Amino acid sequence: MRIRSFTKLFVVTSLAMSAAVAACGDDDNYVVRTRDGGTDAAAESGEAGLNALACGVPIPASYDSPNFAANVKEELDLKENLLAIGDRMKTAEGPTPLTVTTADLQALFTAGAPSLRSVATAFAQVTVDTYLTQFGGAATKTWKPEDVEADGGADGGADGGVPVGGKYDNASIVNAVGVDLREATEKILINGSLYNYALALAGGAITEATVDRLLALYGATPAFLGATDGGAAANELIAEYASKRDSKIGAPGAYRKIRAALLVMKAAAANGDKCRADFDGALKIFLLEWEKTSFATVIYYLNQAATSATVIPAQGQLALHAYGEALGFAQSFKGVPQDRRKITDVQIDAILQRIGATTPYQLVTRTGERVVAFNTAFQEIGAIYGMTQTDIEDAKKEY
Amino acid sequence: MLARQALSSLIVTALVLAACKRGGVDDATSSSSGGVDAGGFDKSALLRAFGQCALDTYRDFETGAVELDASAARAVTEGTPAASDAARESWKKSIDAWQRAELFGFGPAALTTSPGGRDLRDPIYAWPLLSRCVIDQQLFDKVYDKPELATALVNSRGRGAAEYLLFYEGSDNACPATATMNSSGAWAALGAVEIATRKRAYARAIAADTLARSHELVAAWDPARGNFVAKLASAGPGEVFVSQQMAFNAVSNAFFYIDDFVKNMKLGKPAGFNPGCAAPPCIADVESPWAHRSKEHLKNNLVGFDRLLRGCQADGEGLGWDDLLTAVGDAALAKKLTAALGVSRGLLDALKEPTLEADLVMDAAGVKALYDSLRVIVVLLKTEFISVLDLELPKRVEGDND
Repeated sequence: MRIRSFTKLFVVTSLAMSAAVAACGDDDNYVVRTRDGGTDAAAESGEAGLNALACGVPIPASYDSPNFAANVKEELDLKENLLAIGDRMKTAEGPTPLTVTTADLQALFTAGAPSLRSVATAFAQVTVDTYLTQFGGAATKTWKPEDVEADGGADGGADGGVPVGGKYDNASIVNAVGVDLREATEKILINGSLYNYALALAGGAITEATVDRLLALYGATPAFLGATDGGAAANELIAEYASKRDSKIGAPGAYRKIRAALLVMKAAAANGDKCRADFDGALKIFLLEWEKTSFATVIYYLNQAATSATVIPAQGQLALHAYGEALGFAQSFKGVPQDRRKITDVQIDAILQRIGATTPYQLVTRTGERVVAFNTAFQEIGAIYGMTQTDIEDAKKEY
Repeated sequence: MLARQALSSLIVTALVLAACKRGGVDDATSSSSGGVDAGGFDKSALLRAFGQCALDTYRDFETGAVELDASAARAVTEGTPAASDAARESWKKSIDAWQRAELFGFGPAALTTSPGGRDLRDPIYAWPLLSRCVIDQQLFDKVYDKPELATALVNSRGRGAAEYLLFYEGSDNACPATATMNSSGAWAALGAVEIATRKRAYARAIAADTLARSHELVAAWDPARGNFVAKLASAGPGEVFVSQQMAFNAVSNAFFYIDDFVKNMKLGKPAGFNPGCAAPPCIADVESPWAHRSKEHLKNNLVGFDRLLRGCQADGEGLGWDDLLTAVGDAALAKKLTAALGVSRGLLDALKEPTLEADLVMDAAGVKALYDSLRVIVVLLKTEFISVLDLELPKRVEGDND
């Protein structure tokens, strides 16, 4: 799935869902405080403007930012470079590929000030460097999981030699062990670069422009309708996935919680220190829901991968394509400052080991055991984020 | 003769193309418009009848699920052939009820992308999704004893997996030799007795899981709880179905189960009339390869179809699509559909071998006649039915060349 694939129109009818309601039920008690308690009735009537922060500032019903475009230029450049890396890699896929070199991709990774690489965690820098190098080496070769299995996981070629990876089923390009390099790279960058950069911004001076920049890194726009249809209000980056993981009805999901949090952050930021506590509370929701969206999406793509691998006839290429997305998201939080995330590196490593991060090809050659291991990983992710069995099942769906 | 056939084909093609409007019930703009003029006919009453029929059908299944849960538990505790046989009989009763329910794939049973959809069908019966290797691996890993079962792939639980576990008595597995449990010899070391014991335990866990899901499905429709019956009947602005036409489209989409599932996948594919079978007949592609109930499944599917077509009460009494067709002035189509259904049911009864697998081999002509009769129904649905009632062709059957 491309980050810029917009296939569904979701119109959120309750445009003015209140921040207070959006925060209800949050696992970590990061609630947006309101002066009057933020009644459900007010929220359901769409009168979000009736709600106010604890500091007394009203919460706006919509996100208004006249200087948005100017405020977020750096963030939009980062986004465009991230999308350009994926677009460029994609041109090397399929039956009529263009030539794409590691240097081409590295140029995009290091372009701009700041660049995607400069704002990335050390882990993301090293991992993406590796993936881009592997991509350049594999782009013109072919690859089959059976060959890797036959060679004991050591080689990506039928004739032995240096493990390099290649094109799988004339479609995606994988490394020697079967990592879909485009998908894994894109997903690592969403968090390893953009989330990490959001933390840097949030750690500095807070102004309304800061919130605009966080919104841009998240991948939504001020119009903020929860749409993924490619229109003006379309979501990209992690916002696209938050939208897909949010049912749009009933108890607010990630997208609606983040939307509410950003509205609070915007209002609080405009009022300086007197609303700093409100800002900090909403920021925690924003970051936690971003993180939870990432790992709910790990569940989604692992389930997609398992489904493709076990359908008759098996669709191995699609399975590894989805696996690459899951792997990228799972890896992406490694090295992010621990005080700004819930999952630890130890837990990430355990998940990576569980899903066979060093042997993705086994999803095709040893399907049953890989698929069962994925399900165990769902439980482990669910335990970290307090997800019920129903929550885990819901994470497998796309709204 | 050829010219007449060609002309007929052109007419049918034209009707299909005319009917192939944008599909999908989740197009609120399209669905909220109009709807066919049925005079004084109470469309809400028909929608309510569809809903009540769904609820009644699900309750039948729930009753069977309770029985299977109990008998599967006895099979574990007693471990006798008689107890296993009893569990198999319970499975048959339960799946018979579910096959009738398969036609009611609207509302909570539908995908979450559909109005009111909660994805409740697949965890109960995911066919054609079923992975014997994943089931075997989970048997080996005793996943049935863990919370993971609730979130396992749908192709490794539900009534399809239960069929394999209850009816297949071999001690082999379907995973490749490269699978660790095979290459290490660990599966073989289990031995036939332990494998049979684990199969009973797994089947028991599935029975409990699907019982809970049957409760959930019934609760979703029950007027005293989720009351989806009322949600269907009260279609209109601001409701789950923003118009009655949208609600009718949802029911119609489910009604087309007779096309892609019954005609194509359950009969056409194993018989070689549809893609996917290189050397007909493809016995391995029948729906029920271990319990050999494929023919009974077809019969029960047609019962479900009849309930929607003519009404849910005995002998086709009660409101059904036929009443709406009559109200809009096309009682003739209602009669044609009813007659065509009768022909299909008669031809199905006329297949005299004990199993569909045997019919595919011994009575290919009879199977072809049944397939052709189903095709008559499908053509009526794809042309006259959706045209007369101003319905939309389900996206999943667009492009089918009936």
